[in-house]
This record gives sequence, C-alpha cells and structure tokens, in this order.
Amino acid sequence: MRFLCLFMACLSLSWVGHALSPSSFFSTTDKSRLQGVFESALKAGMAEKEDFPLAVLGLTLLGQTVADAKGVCQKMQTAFTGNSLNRLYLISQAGQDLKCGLKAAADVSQTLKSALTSSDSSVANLFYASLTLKALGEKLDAAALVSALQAGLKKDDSVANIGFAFQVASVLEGKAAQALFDRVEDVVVQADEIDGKMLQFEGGVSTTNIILSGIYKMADKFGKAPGISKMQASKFANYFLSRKSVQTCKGGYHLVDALTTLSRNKYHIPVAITLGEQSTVVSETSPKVQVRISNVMGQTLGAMSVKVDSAMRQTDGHTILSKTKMAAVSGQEGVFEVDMMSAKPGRGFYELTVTATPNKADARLAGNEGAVLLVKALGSVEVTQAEIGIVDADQGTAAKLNPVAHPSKSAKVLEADHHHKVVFKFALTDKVSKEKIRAHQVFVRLAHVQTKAEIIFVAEPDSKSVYKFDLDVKSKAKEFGGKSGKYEIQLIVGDAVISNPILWSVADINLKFQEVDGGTEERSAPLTGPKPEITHLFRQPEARPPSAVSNLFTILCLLPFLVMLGLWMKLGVNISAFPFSLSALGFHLGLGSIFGLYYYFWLQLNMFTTVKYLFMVGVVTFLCGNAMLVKIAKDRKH
Amino acid sequence: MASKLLLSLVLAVTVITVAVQGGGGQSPSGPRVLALLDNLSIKESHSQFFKSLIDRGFSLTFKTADDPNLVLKKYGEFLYDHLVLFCPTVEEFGGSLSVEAITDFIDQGGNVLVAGSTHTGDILREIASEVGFEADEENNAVIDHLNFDTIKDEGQHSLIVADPDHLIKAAAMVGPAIAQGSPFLYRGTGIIVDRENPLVLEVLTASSTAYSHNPDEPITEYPHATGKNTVLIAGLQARNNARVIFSGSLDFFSDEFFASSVQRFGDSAQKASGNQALAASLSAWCFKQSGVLRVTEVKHHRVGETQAPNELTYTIKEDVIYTIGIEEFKDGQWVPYKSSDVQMEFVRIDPFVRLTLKGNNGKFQGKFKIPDVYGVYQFKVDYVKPGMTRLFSATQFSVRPLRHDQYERFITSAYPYYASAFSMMAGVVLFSVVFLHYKEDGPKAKTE
Repeated sequence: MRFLCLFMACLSLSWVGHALSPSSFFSTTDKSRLQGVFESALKAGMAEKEDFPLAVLGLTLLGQTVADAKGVCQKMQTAFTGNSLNRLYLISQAGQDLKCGLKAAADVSQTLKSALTSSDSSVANLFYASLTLKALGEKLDAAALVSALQAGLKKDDSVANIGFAFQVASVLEGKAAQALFDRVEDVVVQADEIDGKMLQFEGGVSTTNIILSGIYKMADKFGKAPGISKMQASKFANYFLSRKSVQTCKGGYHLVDALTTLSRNKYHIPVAITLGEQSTVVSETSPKVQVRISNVMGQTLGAMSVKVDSAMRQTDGHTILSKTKMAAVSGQEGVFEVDMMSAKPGRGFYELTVTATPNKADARLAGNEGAVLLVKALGSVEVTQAEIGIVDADQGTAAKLNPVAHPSKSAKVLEADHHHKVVFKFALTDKVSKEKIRAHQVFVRLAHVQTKAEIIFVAEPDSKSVYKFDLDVKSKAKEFGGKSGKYEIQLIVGDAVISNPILWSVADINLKFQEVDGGTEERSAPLTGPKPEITHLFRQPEARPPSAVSNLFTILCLLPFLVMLGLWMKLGVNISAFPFSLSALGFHLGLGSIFGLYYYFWLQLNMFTTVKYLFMVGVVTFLCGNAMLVKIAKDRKH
Repeated sequence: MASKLLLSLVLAVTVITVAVQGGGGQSPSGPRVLALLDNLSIKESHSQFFKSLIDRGFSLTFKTADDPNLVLKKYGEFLYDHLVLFCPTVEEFGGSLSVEAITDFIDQGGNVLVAGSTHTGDILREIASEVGFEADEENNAVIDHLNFDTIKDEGQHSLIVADPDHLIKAAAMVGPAIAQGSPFLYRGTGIIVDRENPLVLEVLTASSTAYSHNPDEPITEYPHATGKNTVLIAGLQARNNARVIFSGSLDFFSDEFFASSVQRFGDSAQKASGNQALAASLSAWCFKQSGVLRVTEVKHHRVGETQAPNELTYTIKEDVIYTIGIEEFKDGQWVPYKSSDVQMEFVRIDPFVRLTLKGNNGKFQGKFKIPDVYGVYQFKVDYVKPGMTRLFSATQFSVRPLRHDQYERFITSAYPYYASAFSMMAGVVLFSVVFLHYKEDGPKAKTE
C-alpha cells in the first residue's frame, strides 16, 4: 500500500503524463491455478450450474483442451433446457467453443425468440437471447435489436446494461449499431478509479470485462479506434492484474478473457514491465537487476531495446545510473538485465525508471515508457567494538568494560543490583566499506530466563554512531516489575536494507532489585482460570475429660443417696404408719411418676406431650396429697 | 360504510403483522451479517473468507461503509446479528451508523469483526478504544526484520510471518490452527491492548524481534509496541458475552494470503499459510459458532438420596452431591462439554467451599460436607475460560443448625450431672415416704 503511495507520489512529481505500466503479468502459476479451478468445476459435472460452461469457456481461452469433450457436450445438451436465459447463453457459448452442435428444443427457441420480441425485455435478456441464437446459427434482425436495446437502455442505463449492449452490437451485421459505438467514451468516463492506478466498473471483474471486451470487439468490427486512451487501457490492465487471485469460475473466465483482449487487440497493448523474480533486491551476491518486458499475458512483444533512464535513491535523490542500456539475457526472450552493484549503490531503496522501445515501431504499445520499479540495494552489517560491563550508578568515572565478540555469548554471568548500572556499547559497521552505519531497529532485549517475560529497550547512537545502552537498575526496576533473577541480554539489529539481521545473545545477567511494595505488575484479579480450592475448616469439638474422671465424679454424686439408704438400713426405718389408703398410694405413685415423666422427657418426649402428661398426673397427685395430708393431720390431733 | 371500515381494519392489522415480522423475525436463512467494505473490490479480493461465512450458514449483506443508507437498527430491533468491518480507511460511516451505534450494538450482544490496516481511520480507532484496544498511529506497520516473507514482502519487511506458537491457547478460538503449525502472513498495524482489562484477549502476538513503527522514519522515540507486546489480532469477550475481534491487518483475510505459501526469512522450505484456517476459526468464534456453553441441568442432594430435600433446607455438616450438566456448541450442534477445570462454590456472601468438579460426559459432579455455619447459601458455578462464553449458575438453598433433639444425648463427661439429678429425684420420693409415714418405736425409745 505504502509502496503504491510512494509510487504515485513520484509519478505525480516527475513522470506526469507517462503511462502507468502494469507491474505484474498473468504468469504460468496463475494460469495453472485457474486451470485447476476450471477443471475442478468440470469434474463436479453439474452442467446445469453456471460454473460448468464457464469452466469450458475458461479452459478454451487458456488454450487447454477439454477432456472428454463429447461427454461434456452431452451433459450440456441435457442441461440446455428451461427458461434461465443466462444458463442458455453460457451453455450455447461453451457449446460453440467445443463445436458440440447443440440443438435447441422447441420450447427453448420459443423462449429465446419471445425474449427478443417482447417489448419489455431487459437489456441483459436481449443480450443473452441474441447471443444464444447467434451461437445456434440463427440470423438476427439487426435494426430491430438495436432499437430494442436503445429502448432498454432508456429505461435502465446502468454500466452493466451498456456492456451487454456493446456485446450485442459487436456481433450484429452491418452498421446498425454505430450509435452504440459512439457511446464508448461516455461509458469509459463512468469507470471508478482506485488509488489513481486502476480503473474498474461497478460490478467487478465480470462487468468490467463485458464492457471492455465489447468495446474492443466493436472497434474491430467498425475498424475504428475505440475512445479509450492508452493510459486508461493500462489502468484497466492494472485492475485485472490486481484481481489475479480470483477463485471462482466466473471471475476466472472474465479475468482471462479481459487479459487476452488486452494482449491481442489492434489498438492498445499495455506493456508489463516487471522485475525478475529475484531482482527486487540487489546485493553483493546477486548484483544484477533483471527486467521482463511482456504483454499482460506474459507473452513477449518482439525485439526491444531497453534502457534505465535513471536509478535514484528514494531517501536523498542520489542517482547512480542514467541512460544505461540494459543487455538482453540470452536464452530468455524479453528479459533484460543491468549490473547495479557495479555502480556502488550503497544501501537503500532505488527507483529504477525503465523505458522499452520496440525496434520496430508499434503504436499499440501502452505504458512502455518511464515505468518505475523499486529495487532495494542491500548491505551486510557487523557488530564491532562491543563491550559490556557493570558500573556503579553514582560514579561518573568511566569504568572498565569487558569486550565481547559478535556471534559468541559471554561466558561470564554479570551480576548487578540497585547500586549498579549496566552499560553496553557497540558500533555497527558495513562489512564492505567498513563505515559506521545506523540501522532502523537497534534494540536490546532482556528476557527473564524462567518466565520468558521480556523488556525491550532502544539503543541510541551518539554523534559518532556508536550505540550505547545503559540500564540504571534502580530507576528501571518498575519496568521489570521488580522481578529479580537471571536475564538474558540480546541485541536485535534489523533494517529493511540489511541483508543479515542480527539476533545476538550477548550475555546473561543476574539482576537484583530492591523489594518494592506493590510493584509487581500483575493483571488485576485474574478473571479466568481455575481458582485455588477452598475447604471449610470445621470447628473442632471442645476437649472432654477422660471417662475415668467423670465416672469417679458420678460415683461421688451418687454417694449421698447411697449413704442415706445405708444409714436407714442400719438404723431400721419404721414406716408402719403407712396408711394403705387410696390417697396415700396415689400421692406417692404420682410423685414417682412425675419424676419418671421427667426421665422420659429427657429421653424422648417433647415439651408439649410432657406438659400434657404432667398436668394429668399433677392433678391426681395434688388431690391425693391433699387428702393424705388432711388425714395425717387429723390422726395427729387424736 | 361498514365494509369500508372493515377493510381498513383488516389492512391495518396486515400492516402491523408485516411490520412485526419484518422487524423482529429472525431471517430463516441463518444469522444476518452486515459486511461494511471500503470499496466493493474487497468483496472480490476477500471472496474466500466471505464464501466460508456463507457456507457456514450466514446470510451476508455487503455495503460500502459510506453508503448513505446504512441502518443498523429499525424500530428498536437490530437488523443484523453480526457485523464485519472491512473498511480500514473509512473516515465517516454513512447513514445512521456511528461509533455510538456500534458500541450500542455490542452492548446489546452483537458481535463485531474488525480489520484495520496501516491506514486505519479514526473511526475504527475509536471503536478499538471503546473495546479496550489501541491501534497504532497511522502509517505505522508491524516490522520484523527476522520474520518476514522473502517472496511477497515489498521491501520494508512489513509482511511478517507470525508463528502459531504465539497464538492464544484456547482451542475454541483458534481451532485446529495451532496443531497444524502453519505460519500466518500478516501485513498491517500493531495493536496495543490494555493489560488491566481482564476481558481482552491477545489472540495473536508478534515475535520478540518485531516492533510497530513507521518504516520510513528513523526511530527517535520508544515505539508504541515492541516484541511480544505487539498484538496482531486482539479479541474481546464483553461481560454480556458479545464478542469483538480486531485484526490490524485486512490482508490477513485476503484470498491472496489464504492461497499463498510462506517463505520465512532464513527458512529453506516453503510452508502453506495457515491464514484460511485461522480466519475461519476466528470468525466462527466471533460469530458464536464455537466456544459457546450452556447449562442443561443443576442437581443437588444428600449422599444416598436422589432428590433435593423436601423441606428445602440442608442441615449443617451433611454430605451433599452437586451435579451440573454443561453443553458446548460445536460444529453446529450441542455436545457434552469436556473439561477438568469447572469449579463450584458454596457461597454465603463469601465462598465457604470451592471444589473442582469431576466431569463425565458433560455432567460435572462434586461431593462436599456442608459447613457448620448456618444461613442462606448458593451453589454457584461462575466459569470463565478464555474463548468460552461466561457460564453462570446459582441455586439458592438454606442451611439450618441442628434441632434441639438432634444433639448428642449421652455424654460420658456429663454422667455426674445425670447421676446427681436422678439420685435427687429418687431421694425425694423415698424421703417423702419415710418422712410422712415414720412411726416412732413408742415406749422403748422413750425409756432410753
């Protein structure tokens, strides 16, 4: 993209008025790729799809023979039905290419003819129907068709429709379609320009091709040059070449058709001036620039004399070659070369302005003058005077640094803490001229050996082009996230015009940072990834005394009761006054059962049942107790 | 008169139904994608990518980005489900489209695939910063003097070869691209991501020797992105699961890069480019065809039972089994999800228990003991994995303490208390008998 802009900028500055030469052509790899696309569509064998006839058309255009032409013809004959005019048209064209001799069934020719005569037929339908009938060998009524086309265009004069009209006009007998030919210039003006370099009609490759090939076919027919300038022809060629990577049969067919038109017609042949495959870059090992002169299909254009008008460095306008003739490469027709390194170019991007003049004048050639090609001259670089060392941060005195040599890594592991500074000095020199140079990318990379975390610093050159990198361990601690440990120091040197970019592991260093509070550069609360598991810590039951102790105390608690029983036994208790009355029995049994009830409450009963039972037993006990005590009191009185 | 009224009524009803269908109805031909292009030739130069979208069932609408009739929303409904912005140089959108409209689209769950270039326009830059990325300045390109394509590079080493090792480790996003090991061609600007933003994903980063700078100007200040910090393709999955992919290179998706082979500087052999596979996986991810999870069922019950307790509570210290069924959307259908890092949290304000669930055919199960703290808890699964939609499931359940009769009854160390209580009761009964009915032995005692 940028290349393009530069290209354009240069053009507008100094080559205004010159043609834009296509900078690529339809190569054999493009051809075989498209051939593959077509063949796979044929293999799919679906003759009723539009890809099938398009593949036949594409293959014939590429000069390939269609395998099993008879079978293909048969398939197309079966698919030559229905009322889709587009399909009928494509099959008829493909049938014509293969000389199938397709026969139209009665209903098909009825469909076609009614499309021609119907008053409201669109231009597209007129185009399909007329060309189908033409392919079937029918005569067309030129005057009627032209007026139908004119009427259709009045309704809808989109560029696609005009393209269809051109195509029809190019096959009609006589001069009836002259009016349409006069519209060429108006149509070409409607093409959209892309980046000032390409011309295209709305609708893409197919529409652009239908219009363009229609124009050239008409021009052939009327024997008059079409209203297209050489510059416009080159721009159309550029557009089609930029679409070389199409993958569909339709796009592929139209692309090849357009490029064939642009390389074979009688009026304009855009010349593709392209760099040879290995020639975008020159260096000591490959000093020659090769240029290929061809038409857009990659075919040679006969004997030529080619010269380099100038070769200018982009950055400062330094010119190394001017009016230098290029020598023809023997054995490769249309290929010319010049030794650029012999002119001692120095590193940089060079604009080569190339002009090809045919030995036998040919007015058709477009864009053969002042084509600008971008060539890069490379130089190789080496690291010299490299030394690395540790100095005290607060000492201004120049400390002693250890020399290191380029490809090898220093065996000594450096040690630095927050009092220190790491200093690394080196120079870059051109291998050939031994001059000190500067490169675009001169970075020092420190990578933590374990975590692979990296920090990159830019090394800056001083006025003598000696690069110096110094790292104050204390002040840069934050950039390292305060992560101490072993780091590897690497030097990265790269530039677009250096043939040997350098990635050099200079040394290992142990960095010790001061502990910083919260200095660690973590992402805030990682949202993803499994978190640590949590298990709930249950409260531990309190420690209990050993059972021997509690048993002892149980016995001690029972002791008073046992002592009482024992003493009573010893003394002898006389309870002969017990009155065997209902009230006395009831009271004592009741009291006993109240306590029994308490025991069951402890074991299993709940509060409400207990209260219920207690109420019943309590009333009985109360009444009995009352009666018993009254009786005892009465007895005492007597 | 009456018939006229009826007719107009019928007409009105028809109009309303049509409007509802037109506005809200999902088009039967699959998710709707609006592709905005710089110019229509991008439709051709990127035809393979668009074809792969159509093959996967999307219905595409192509418009130029400055089309004056652009509408994203009609009657409060979005007309498209996904958006492709292949319009790096556009300065202003046509119609009613704007940065606000696009952020609103993302806020409502729409997915956006954006491609920039070295000439990324301000409007894409604004969209990028809305979603947590920053595209490098105009004319800045990612340069790598050690990893460029020697054949197709135009001289500035800005057609770089990205290593599949630098892809994000999330199979749902990058698909088989990692396993194939094919390098990627990339030509465009570098992206800087906000590292503080946990929702941003660095999908593809450059290698350590890369940097992002204007290739025509010497480096005087520290470049905005160096080494692995130079992000080539960044992704975002918002909290509402809307997805955004931002690639700094439009050419990454082009037919040319899909079809071409890669000749890395210093490598002897050519390799096929992995662009096509990665572009397909990334678009599938971005447009929710992969990496989508859903919960099918959540079950929990005590060990030895099959149903959640009827009384809707668990008691402390019970052993509980929790099961969650998760499915993943893969290749057009829902299949059981496989993973070993699904975690469940038992949460009462803070998680009390967090355990990793064992997966078996999409059913993830874990067993744990309920904590001895009662309250209202949630069984919570909040599964966040790069490349997957966020999965959230919470089931509320209460935990109560032991009932009064559920405590331990016969404690050895309490026997002294039991003994004293019961001996006292027995003593009262016996003593009352003796006290009330004691009869003195009469004269014999008196004489003594």
